[in-house]
Amino acid sequence: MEDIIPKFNYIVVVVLMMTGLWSMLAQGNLIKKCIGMAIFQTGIILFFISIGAKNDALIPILTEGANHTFDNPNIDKVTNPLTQILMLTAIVVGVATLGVGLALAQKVYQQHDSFDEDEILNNQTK
Amino acid sequence: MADLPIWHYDTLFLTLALLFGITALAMQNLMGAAIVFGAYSFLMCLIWTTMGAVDVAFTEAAVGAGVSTVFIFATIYNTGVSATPNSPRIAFKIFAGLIAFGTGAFLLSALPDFPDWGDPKSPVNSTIAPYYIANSITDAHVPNIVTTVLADYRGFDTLLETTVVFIACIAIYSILRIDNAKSKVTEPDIITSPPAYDPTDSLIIRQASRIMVPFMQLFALYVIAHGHYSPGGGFQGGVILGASIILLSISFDLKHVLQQWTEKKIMILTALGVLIYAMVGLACILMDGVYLDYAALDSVLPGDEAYARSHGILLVEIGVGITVMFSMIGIYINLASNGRFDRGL
Amino acid sequence: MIKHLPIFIVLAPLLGAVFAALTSWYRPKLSFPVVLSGLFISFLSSFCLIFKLLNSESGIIHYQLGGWGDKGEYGIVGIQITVDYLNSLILTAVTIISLLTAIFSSQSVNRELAGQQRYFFALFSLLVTGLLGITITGDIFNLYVFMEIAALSSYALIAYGKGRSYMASFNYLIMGTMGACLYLLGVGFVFVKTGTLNIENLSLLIPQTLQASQAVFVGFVLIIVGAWAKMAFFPMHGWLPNAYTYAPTASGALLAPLATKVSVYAMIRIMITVYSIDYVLKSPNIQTAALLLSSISILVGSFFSLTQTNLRKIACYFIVSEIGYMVGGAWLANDPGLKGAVYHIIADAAMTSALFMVIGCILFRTGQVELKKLDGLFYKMPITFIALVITMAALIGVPPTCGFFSKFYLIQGAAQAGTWHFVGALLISSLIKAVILFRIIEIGYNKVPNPAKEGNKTIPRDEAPLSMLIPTLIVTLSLIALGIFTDTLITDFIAKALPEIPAP
Repeated sequence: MEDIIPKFNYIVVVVLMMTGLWSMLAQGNLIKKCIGMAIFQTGIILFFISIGAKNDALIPILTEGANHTFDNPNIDKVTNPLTQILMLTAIVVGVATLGVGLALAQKVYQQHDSFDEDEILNNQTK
Repeated sequence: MADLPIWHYDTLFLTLALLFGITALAMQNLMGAAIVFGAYSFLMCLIWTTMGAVDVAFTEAAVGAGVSTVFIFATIYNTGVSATPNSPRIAFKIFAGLIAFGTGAFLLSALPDFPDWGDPKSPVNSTIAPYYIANSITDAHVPNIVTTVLADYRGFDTLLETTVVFIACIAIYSILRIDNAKSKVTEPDIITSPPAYDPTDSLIIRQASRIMVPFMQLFALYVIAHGHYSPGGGFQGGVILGASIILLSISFDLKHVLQQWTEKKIMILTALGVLIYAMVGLACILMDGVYLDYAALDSVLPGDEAYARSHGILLVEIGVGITVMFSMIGIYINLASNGRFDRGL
Repeated sequence: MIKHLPIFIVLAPLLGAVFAALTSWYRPKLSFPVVLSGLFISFLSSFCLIFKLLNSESGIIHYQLGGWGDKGEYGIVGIQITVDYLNSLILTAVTIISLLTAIFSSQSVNRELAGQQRYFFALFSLLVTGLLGITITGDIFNLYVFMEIAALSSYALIAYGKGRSYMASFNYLIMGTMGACLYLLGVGFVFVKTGTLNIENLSLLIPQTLQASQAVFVGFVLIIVGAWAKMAFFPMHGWLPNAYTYAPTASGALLAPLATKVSVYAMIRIMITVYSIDYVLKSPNIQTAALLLSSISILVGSFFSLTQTNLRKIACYFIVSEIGYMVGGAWLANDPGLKGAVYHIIADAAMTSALFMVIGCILFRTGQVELKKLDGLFYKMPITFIALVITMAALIGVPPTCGFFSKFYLIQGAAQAGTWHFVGALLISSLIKAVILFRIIEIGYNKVPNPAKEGNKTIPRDEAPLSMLIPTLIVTLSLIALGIFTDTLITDFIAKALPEIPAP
């Protein structure tokens, strides 16, 4: 138990990601697949942010010191900016993919009048 | 300044986020699933704030909780469908469950190898990041280290990210756009048309949005311009600008918005932002620097090399903001009107 | 200007696409020339870089974006793009094939997508940007972003096909995003233990200090599985046949030869440079699993191609089996295997391009590609038919085409490693392709009585238009040229690209 509690966050993140992955593969509804995809991606982003966090650290925006100058920051007290950049990119890529997925789902609905994958397959082979 | 309490709220938020995620996937009603997904995104935003990632949380609030939820709504609004499956697909679900379980176990097998959570001396925190933290002011005179890394040190990534948003806009346009007058391909029209717009509907919403939209846009411009000194920047500001127009088109009729922001204007301005970004980089090449090396521009921009970088960052952020704004508007209009550009939500 | 060539390779198609998107609202006819000039600049840059590479002593050309290079103890702080022996040939191949496909597709786009092709060439150019970027980048996170650029453009390009292409594109989207997310997760696991994203820095860190790290191993597996999903490797190949069959001719001709092969390059780059051959050899479980899956992939692709009657679906299943060749060759992790795999990337790109172009010509003139309805194709379109026969011969592995040499290296590598099931799969797939070739020849040539003889029905010659025919012929003839110049390619480029491989 002593081992698990400090790493509890990682376990929840992994469970979250796997829920999204399961939904992408197993759900029959196209919109649910898209939502599962978004949950998978936010789970990955959470994973990255967690590894960049520091205990008792402040946000990576430096504040002015006494004479409107910026002192040398204490590196241990500033959160890692690199992981945040990567995740900004990942969020934007995620929403772009979600948009394209939703557009395709809407087009499929226009053709087959259903979002359910099994119904669509039946419709297509008729 | 108070220390951020990483531990106290974290466990609660994480468990809630997991619950919300599972609920969003399990709900039968698609509209309800979209709303719960929006709530899930907001929780994620809070979690990231407690971990010190304010820029990311800002972007997630604008993009994930705001715009994504609206996109899902716009897609399913005209369909009125709930997600009852006709066949339970048990075999599929068990098989996928095994895959997910196996992958999860494989991922967790690496857990003992991870550094302690929050360790300031872990490899991630001690390889490249100290350079960014120590040199952001001396290199570019920008206190927001995230903005410096985003637009200067890793500026190429941001150019590509802007291109991704641009591609999403033109891809959705290509997939959905139907010009009934010109196209020779006839598409079946199964979607029920939304009810006609009645001007006496929702008076409160219309008046409220009339007051809110100018302030939203002003705030968005502030976010873009002040991204050097506070959380913000091109993406967040661009999304808020786009959201202001989306708010107008939801509360009023889409036709009124389209009279002001025509299809041609939206799609051309989407491309303009990427062009600005790429051209700034080319200008650096013409001034004898490397691509996207803003210090080469210090002969034309005021100030010394560090200030040239700061101004260069501002220029590219403007480009990013323009593309993101019009892409969000373009994507929304295409999704909401099924590509017909006549009536929306 | 010369020192900026690496960035021009990626920048020219990107700017071409943006300008095409802008001009398509004012003068739609200008989009095509704008995109063509962007691709041409890119081709020139990659070609010049090959000569610059041969003349340099170190064999690597670096380009530091933003001017941020090595900062001493911190390593490389910015993003770096690299041209070395491994990717210079692939860059040139991608640019040439995309240029030829662009010329090829102008006629078919006008016919198939009439009135709707406003953004087609912009998306075409953006796809090429993504593929070139994956090949040239020296940063593993940058690779993810380029991968998504290529992926989003390809989803839209496939969806131009209307009809069943929407569902096919959606399935491709789900599979592709799953692969990209697994790749990103793998990057995260590697990042946790190393703190850097630069391929050069990682190649110094991982083999030295992190051999035994479980997190780095999990990252390795995740990155490889993500790349497999993107390249339609068994068991994640289900999306490919539908996606490429229902796409319009031009999209299929661009996607099929390039998209999956560049993912193979990415896998090889991670295996060889970031991790090392040594690391791969020390994880025997993954190696055996990968080789087994390769053989199954080859057999599945070959058997399914036998059951199909649509020429395009047959071609798509060929792609699945060819991917099995490359992945198996790379995971053999010995000298001939790796040489065969890298050579096969270029060879297969040419072969698949020729195949899809030929099918496009047939579709343009006859309106359908069902094998049963192609009676007398030899008389109707003789040049196209001969090109088809040459391409099929290359796929089977007949000398002196390039297909023979890649099979030669792969079989040699498999025999050296003792993986006999791989050799068996290679030979069986060649046999099946020969069966299909004979079927094609019989339908196209023998089924119809010879019109030259007296008293038989004459069949009018209706060859494909020149703008489609000439690129097809260029690519088909290059198959033979690649075969003839195999030795130069292997010794001057590919052998120098591979690191020292420890003897078994």
